[in-house]
Amino acid sequence: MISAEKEILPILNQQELYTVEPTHLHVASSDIVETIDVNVFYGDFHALKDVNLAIKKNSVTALIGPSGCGKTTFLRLLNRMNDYIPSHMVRGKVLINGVDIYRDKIEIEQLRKEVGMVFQKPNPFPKSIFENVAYGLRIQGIKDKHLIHERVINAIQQVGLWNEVKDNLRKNALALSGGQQQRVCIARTLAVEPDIILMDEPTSALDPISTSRIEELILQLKQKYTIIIVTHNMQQASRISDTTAFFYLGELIEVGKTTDIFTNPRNERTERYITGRFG
Amino acid sequence: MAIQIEIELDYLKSLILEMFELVKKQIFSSREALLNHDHELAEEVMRNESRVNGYEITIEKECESLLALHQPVATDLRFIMAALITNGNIERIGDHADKIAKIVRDQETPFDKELLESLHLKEAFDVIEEMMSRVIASLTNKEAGEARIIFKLDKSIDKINKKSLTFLNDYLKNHTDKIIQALWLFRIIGKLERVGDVMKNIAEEVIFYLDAEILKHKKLKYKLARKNNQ
Repeated sequence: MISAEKEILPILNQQELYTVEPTHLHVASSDIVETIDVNVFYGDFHALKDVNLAIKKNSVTALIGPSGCGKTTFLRLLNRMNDYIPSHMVRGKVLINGVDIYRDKIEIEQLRKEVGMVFQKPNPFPKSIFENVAYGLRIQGIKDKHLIHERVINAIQQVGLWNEVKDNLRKNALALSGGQQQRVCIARTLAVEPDIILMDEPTSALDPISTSRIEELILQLKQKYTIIIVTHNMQQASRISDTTAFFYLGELIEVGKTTDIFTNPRNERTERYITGRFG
Repeated sequence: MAIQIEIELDYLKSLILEMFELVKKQIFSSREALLNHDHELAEEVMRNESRVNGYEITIEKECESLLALHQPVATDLRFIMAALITNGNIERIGDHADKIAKIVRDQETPFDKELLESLHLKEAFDVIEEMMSRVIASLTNKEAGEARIIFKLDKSIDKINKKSLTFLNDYLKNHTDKIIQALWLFRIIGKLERVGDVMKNIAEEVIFYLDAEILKHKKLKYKLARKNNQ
């Protein structure tokens, strides 16, 4: 199995992680995500401590903090990506659309469909652009060619890649530039029509122009999706997010409107971190 | 070890404080020139005006460089925004000191002592100096309390300005030979009243920088509120 496939397959194909009696997720309120007193442990290591965070629909939330502060753990908590880590344990409630994804009887495959993920490094498969974007749909067992075609085209258009690849949809995705590859990966996530898109430093491997295009894309996508992004780039967090949450040593130190966090943070640790005076 | 932005922010702050001290001295000198009919001192104030302008340009460039190269946030951003506005305001105070000095230089005879006293010009200058000292202290100690007092002090200059009109209305009926002098002094009081207003704007910026509070167009009670709560 190729490395990108190793990374993406567990998200798309979750047969082994099914819990009993799947329940579909439903939109309950304007808060699409809510965590209540969430604690995460990796063996003895207490990675997240009593995290309470509510995320509104159709918003961009940036998770910031120094390395090892728990922001990626928090992100991966939301589509149960941490389940693959041995000795991983979750306490508290993680509500997605009002459903506790760690307690209620949910179908992991359905969860992953509704909570998509984009990784730090673009990870297209060595397949055509079309097949990359169609991958999630095929894994879901969708066989209707017209539907697949429609979803793929729509997703490629949504990520602003259509004009660049419309004549080369059968071209190998690995031949694209890094920025284009990342947009293919975002299109692959969009094709399965998620509610929430998790992004783990999606532009850290990209040049400024590609970064700028992804940022513009994120701002467009929030009309339809809820985006939660982990970033080490303070300017990126301030440019694209509506809400910023600062994590430190596993604790959610401060969360608020991005304009407030970047002009008048309430907590001294937030202030020191965003102004580069930490440590 | 201090990070680069801290070094540059400290430098910016030192420039602002130096400019403030220079303009405070300009105000002090224009007062002395006025009260003592000192043409030489008035000329010195006028010569120093170009130094004030030089500071304004240097500070503006420093702010521009900090914004472009460091993308500051939080307190750093508030300080630079406040510094930019304060910079222009201090320069305006420098202009007023320069214009007062020009008025003094153009007088062939000293101003009437009784008229100077009755118009409370010395007191008005003293209040301006106190305002400047308090704002400088506020910036130096990073404590907004001193800056909040500016709003009250400005009221006393407004009073002097209002009283001067009433006083001159009666005074000039019996002292028609002093009309020209009285008009010049009334003009100087008007300039000091505007300096008071500019100092209020500066105080608002200092409070915005230190307490992240926007006080523009707010009533006096709100401007004093934080101090009373402390």
